[in-house]
Amino acid sequence: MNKVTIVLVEDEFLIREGIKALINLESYFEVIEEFSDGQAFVDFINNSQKLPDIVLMDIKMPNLNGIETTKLLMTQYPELKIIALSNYNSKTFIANMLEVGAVGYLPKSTTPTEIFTTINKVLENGFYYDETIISFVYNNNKVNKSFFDNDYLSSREKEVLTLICKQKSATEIGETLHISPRTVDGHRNNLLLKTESKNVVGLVVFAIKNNLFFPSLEI
Amino acid sequence: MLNNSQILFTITAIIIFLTLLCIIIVIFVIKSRNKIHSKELEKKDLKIQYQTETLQKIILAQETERRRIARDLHDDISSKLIAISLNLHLLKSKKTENINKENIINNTIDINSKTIESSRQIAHHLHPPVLEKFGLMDALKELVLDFNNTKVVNIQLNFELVFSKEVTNIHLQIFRIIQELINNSIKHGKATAIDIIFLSKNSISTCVYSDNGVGFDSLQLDKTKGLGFSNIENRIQNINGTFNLISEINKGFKFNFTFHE
Repeated sequence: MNKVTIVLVEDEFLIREGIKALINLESYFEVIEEFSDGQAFVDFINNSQKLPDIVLMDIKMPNLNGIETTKLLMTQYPELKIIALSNYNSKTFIANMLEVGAVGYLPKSTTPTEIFTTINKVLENGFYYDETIISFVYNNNKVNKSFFDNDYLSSREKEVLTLICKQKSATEIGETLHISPRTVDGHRNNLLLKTESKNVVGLVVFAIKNNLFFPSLEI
Repeated sequence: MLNNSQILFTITAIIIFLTLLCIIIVIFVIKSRNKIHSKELEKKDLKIQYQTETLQKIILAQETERRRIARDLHDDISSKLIAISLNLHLLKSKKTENINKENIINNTIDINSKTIESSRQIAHHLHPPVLEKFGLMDALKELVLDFNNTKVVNIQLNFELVFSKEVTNIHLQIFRIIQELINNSIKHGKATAIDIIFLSKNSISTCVYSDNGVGFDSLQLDKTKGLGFSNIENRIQNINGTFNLISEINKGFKFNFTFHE
């Protein structure tokens, strides 16, 4: 099995070293590159042949901060999996990263278990957020009236979308709806096209903004 | 001989004249009073305006200081504590090999002592403990030593007078003024050498401060006056001192201020 390639983008050397050491505890993870600001990372991505599997990126950085960097990269590389590293457990900061396309977040004072869970869930489902963050995005956006025609998505697609929002994998969704995982993938691709979302996080944000998914109410 | 009608006419004329005179005097008095009054109002307005400006500057200075403290705490304390926390998790993990543990422990001890030093520096900058325990002279000597140790600047400090050991408001203000002046010299003036002399002449105490920085046009001071300088100005006012500033572009910065110990 190929190693999971990881890039660290974090301006503080000590924290970068600490997180790298924790990642290296797992033998199938490999930190391939490190950067201390967003611009250097953008340059690296523009010149690299193959995208890394996972990017861990600080929100507050000199030159180009995490939010700007993510926004910029998402237009060209929507499949890039950026996990935000947050110093302050501020929901506003994290929700901002989610809205520009980050697929998950980790507090900097993280634990090995937290790192592994988040990275593995992102690899498995395309994103990983805990419900408190998703409900924060929901509360932040619920004033917006839905501009979306409900009939545009089929009821099956809506079911798949809700399950994606609940962070279920394609296999789990298939089992719940009694369809094959490949059919689930087909529905997901249709959803991405129809909602003009760049990645799965875009789908989640879309579902929240259009009242197709109500987080925390079910927790 | 004057006839009656002539007398009557003269008296009437005199009465009219006197009445007119009275009216003119009254109008004049009222007008000049109004003038004085409006001048006083103007003065008061100016004073209020000045006070409002000072207040705004104080609030701004307070916010700048808060931002600085927040940044110091974030950069120098919390990021190091996070690094320590990450290292401790690494040590706790069963997957960490014993050979590495020694390194991690040494690294953690090192970061920890740096955190202690940072917190000491932050506290020190907020309120120097030496000032209260050993007085202004020792506090200034330590301040200068701290700056000299950074190798960014070389500061010469000389006392030709003696400050009492007992710390007064004046001492605290002088300490802050010097702290601010040095910060300005390094940050804005890019100075590499600073001279500070405290002297006493005819019972007037003076501090003579000069640096070799890039300087500025002192005639333009009002336009370029930053927060730091208003701060210094307010503090000198607070200790009933006066100041004198000379600076030219590329000719350094000279500053004297007086105080009564």
